[in-house]
Amino acid sequence: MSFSSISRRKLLAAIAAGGGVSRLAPFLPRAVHAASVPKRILTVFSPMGYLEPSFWPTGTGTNYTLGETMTALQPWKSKLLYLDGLAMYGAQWFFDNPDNEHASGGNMVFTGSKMNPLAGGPSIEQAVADFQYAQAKTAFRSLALGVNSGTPSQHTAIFYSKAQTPVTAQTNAQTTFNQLFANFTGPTAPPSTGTGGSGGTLPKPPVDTSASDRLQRQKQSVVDLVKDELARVRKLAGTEDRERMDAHLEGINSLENRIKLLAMNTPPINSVPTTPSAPSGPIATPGSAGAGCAKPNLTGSGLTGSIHSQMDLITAAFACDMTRHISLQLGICDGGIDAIDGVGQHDTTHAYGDTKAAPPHVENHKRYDRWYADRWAYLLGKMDAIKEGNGTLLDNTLIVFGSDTTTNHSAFGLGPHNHIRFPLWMAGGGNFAFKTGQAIQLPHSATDPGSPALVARWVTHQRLLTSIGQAFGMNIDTFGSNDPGKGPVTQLTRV
Amino acid sequence: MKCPRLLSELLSAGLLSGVLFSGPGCSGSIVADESKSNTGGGPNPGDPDIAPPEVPDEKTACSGSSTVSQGRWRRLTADQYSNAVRDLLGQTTSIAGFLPDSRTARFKTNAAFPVEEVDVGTYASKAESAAKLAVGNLKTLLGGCDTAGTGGEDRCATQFIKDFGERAYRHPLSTDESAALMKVYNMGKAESFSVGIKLVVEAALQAPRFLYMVESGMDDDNGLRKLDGFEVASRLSFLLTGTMPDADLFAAARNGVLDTADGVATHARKMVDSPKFTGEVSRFHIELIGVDALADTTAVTKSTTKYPDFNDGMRTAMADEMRKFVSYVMEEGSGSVEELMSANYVFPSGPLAKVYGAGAVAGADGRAIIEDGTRKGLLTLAGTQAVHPMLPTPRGAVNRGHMVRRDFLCNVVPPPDVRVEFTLPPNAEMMTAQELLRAHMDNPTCKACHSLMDSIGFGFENYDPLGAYRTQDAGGNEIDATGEIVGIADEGVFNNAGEMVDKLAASPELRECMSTQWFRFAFGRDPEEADACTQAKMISKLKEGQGNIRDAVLSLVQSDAFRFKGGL
Repeated sequence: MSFSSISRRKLLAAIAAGGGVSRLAPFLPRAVHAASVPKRILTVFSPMGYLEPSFWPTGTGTNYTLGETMTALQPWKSKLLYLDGLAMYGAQWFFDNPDNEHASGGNMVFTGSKMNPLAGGPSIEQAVADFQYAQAKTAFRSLALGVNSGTPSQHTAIFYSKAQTPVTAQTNAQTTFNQLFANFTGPTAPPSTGTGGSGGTLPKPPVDTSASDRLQRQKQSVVDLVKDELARVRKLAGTEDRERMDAHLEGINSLENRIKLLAMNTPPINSVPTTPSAPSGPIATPGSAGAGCAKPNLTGSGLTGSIHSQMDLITAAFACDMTRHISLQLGICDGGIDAIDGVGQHDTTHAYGDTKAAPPHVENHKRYDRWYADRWAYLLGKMDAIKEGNGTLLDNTLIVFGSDTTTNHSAFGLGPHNHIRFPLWMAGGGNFAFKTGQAIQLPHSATDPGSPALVARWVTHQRLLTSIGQAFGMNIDTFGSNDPGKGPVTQLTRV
Repeated sequence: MKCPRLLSELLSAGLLSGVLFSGPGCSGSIVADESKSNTGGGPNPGDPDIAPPEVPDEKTACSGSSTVSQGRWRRLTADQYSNAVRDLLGQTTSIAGFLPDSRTARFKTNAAFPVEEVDVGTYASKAESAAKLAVGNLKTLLGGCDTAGTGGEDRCATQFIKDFGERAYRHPLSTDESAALMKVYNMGKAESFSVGIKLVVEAALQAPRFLYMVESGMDDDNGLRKLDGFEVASRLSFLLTGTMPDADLFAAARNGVLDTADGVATHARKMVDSPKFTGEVSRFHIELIGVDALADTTAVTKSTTKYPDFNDGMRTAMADEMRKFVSYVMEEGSGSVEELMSANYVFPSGPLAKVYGAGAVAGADGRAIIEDGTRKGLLTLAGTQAVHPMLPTPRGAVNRGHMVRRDFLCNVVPPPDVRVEFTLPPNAEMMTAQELLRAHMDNPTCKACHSLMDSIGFGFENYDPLGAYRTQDAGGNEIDATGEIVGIADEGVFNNAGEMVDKLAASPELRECMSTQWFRFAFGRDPEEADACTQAKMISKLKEGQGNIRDAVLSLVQSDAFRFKGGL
């Protein structure tokens, strides 16, 4: 555990004591009495799925046994959710894709949208972000993190803020750390004695409120200038540049929101804000979030260490309620994560076919899958260790794991990679999304859903993306630009 | 030059796309072709050429009326931002790795995709730090303006906003822009004069006119929009010096000197002789080859047991060497494509001494001339060989061959079919490259593309994954570095990397490709049909003699594509 504990009140004091705009970055919403716990989503991409026979659990319902390569997840078995028999629809080779299925699958897995030339819609965590952020503005609308995820291109882009617009993942954990935790001075105190950070009487450090008001007005004047200038140059811009100016404006609005949030949180914290300039929308009220808020200690290096650092950041960003929507991209469509010395992941996956299942290749593939399971266990362990309300941070965060392809048996004659019995699986979120601790067998065809007639026999992954959106309260029936059906996965149990 | 069509074309190849081209065996062929025909769908079989679009000769290309593509505003890259803050405020702001840059093909350009939310926040905090530091020396910042007396402070502020604002926005301020900065100043002045000035700096550094190369242009008779002198000045200075315009260039913009192609050329000629231009030519080649990825320890990895020397020091040394090499060619040598491609010297400093071996003895200038022909230009530098392949694989030859095709010949090689199954032999590490990759040649589908790449890659077999010269491969086999390069004018067989590089360096295809790459580097987009004349002129320069890079770039900056933009 590389977290240092720090009480929420200390954090607030540290923020107030920090200098400059960067002190505005780490914020905690003002103390509120325990209300609703935030609903969060984390989407995680890793290349090329798993070797299926050893990945999928055996048994059904709650009475299931983890696949042999996934046993590292055993401690969280009651918080996992498998849907065996999904088809990722639209990425298959028989569609006229401008690239092969690595990229077409990568573009589609979280967007449900076809790639042409890039994905035709937002990924699920961004769609949820649009929905939730409109109701409650956290310090950051969303974060996009990556490890060796390249710069956006057809072959590298997985997560999209909207059609044709991939997010650019930050791969340098230290940079994100600075963006979120600059001037965060801890640890200095024993864990909060408050009840789950849900308010209580906080000490009132001596603060010159007139000075802090003045600072806020100054920051606001800078923000106003940038907004004015964006509007001015926007008139000179072509279509694409106009969209980029609009995105920049959204970033400025988010900065402005942080400035206002900080002002409202400036001690004395339990008093009515002295600066009644409320943000343009409602602010986030995290309820019991915050008790586990701590500055992460990033010490990892190398591939594994970099991944763990990003996971530490994710946990901290959620625990401090800096955002509720994060994507984590490990590698790109067909690789980038060669974790095992001398064994290329891409080679390993392609080396498997039902007629060529040479034991060394199967074993190598399993080694990769176990390595991934260890990473996922690290993430779940971090999140589950943070108490929140009646459960843990993990219970309030739906994690969706996905890939560009899967590597399965060649029963369908489709070669090593395809998109059926697709491992789009989940962990956490048991407090608000779906009943976890289950392996659900979905009815499916013995034939790839290669035509409108055949697709009806499959539950497509757009159904799951729809279910996820609904779990966050979105009023949707379909998801993505290429949805062949309607409604949620009926076999899922909502909580 | 035909490959089976399973995709129409790749977008700009991603940083890592090299890992795609890796299937060695193809022993199982592509499966499921039958079910494809059963379902009636499927890609159309066809055989597109992997060669880049042809550019007509200069006479044909430049005979019609002027046309220019629209293009997009570029957001300053992390390096450009850093340089501009340095020049604007006379301070060093360290922002290494702070924001991810998006690329056009291999080059960092930030011409596409929006800025990220968190990064807008970072701009704010960086601006505040820089502003705080700047007002620490207020007198210098104000250029000696005397604030004494009634209204002195406001007078100095007005002057500061006019002068500093013009440099920060790289454009004279409109009345509205001045007024907006004045408003910010007044807000800060309520606290103190210094805070007022600080806020002006802080705001200007976050304004779109600072962060983006805003280009509007003016309507022109020919339906294009002519960039004004200040917009041309920005294009020139960022392309040729990697930073904002200096006082000289601003003066030229103000005086209308940059309104003509001749005026642009006059200034550009001075600029391409500066060390800053050398720095940008280095950056061009470092990004083209991907050596910048060495700084990311997750992007380029080697077996730690086999290559324990591949540490941070080695990574830095490799990138530094390429900088030294390009600088030498540009400043001491001929400044030509040919010398970059075929110079017989390396810079074996620090940990590289071990890589280059005892035969590489550096002179006073750090340069070691390699007499035995084992080093020839950029392609045989240690860094080039170390980043291809980026990730450990026994099949570096494929990646190296692909690198030559993609980056130096501008070929578009499609990725292999995802359904390919192959079995890597258990003793792959002990096999020669030729043995390992032979299966590619046995299968027509694999062969179509791999014959174009593998046989180039064989030429580099004499370089181990750190770029050290070797005569035996990892399996202890004698190296056979013979190969063949096809699809270029001087195509044919070669005995080693040196002979292959000679063929490349002499080929018009390479010079044409360099023109495309410089176009991408300069504009952040691919050349289109409308840019044919611009490209044709650059190609003429690159094909002349050894291919002088300064001459080619000078032709580029005088072009319509550089001085105009398409209508909105």
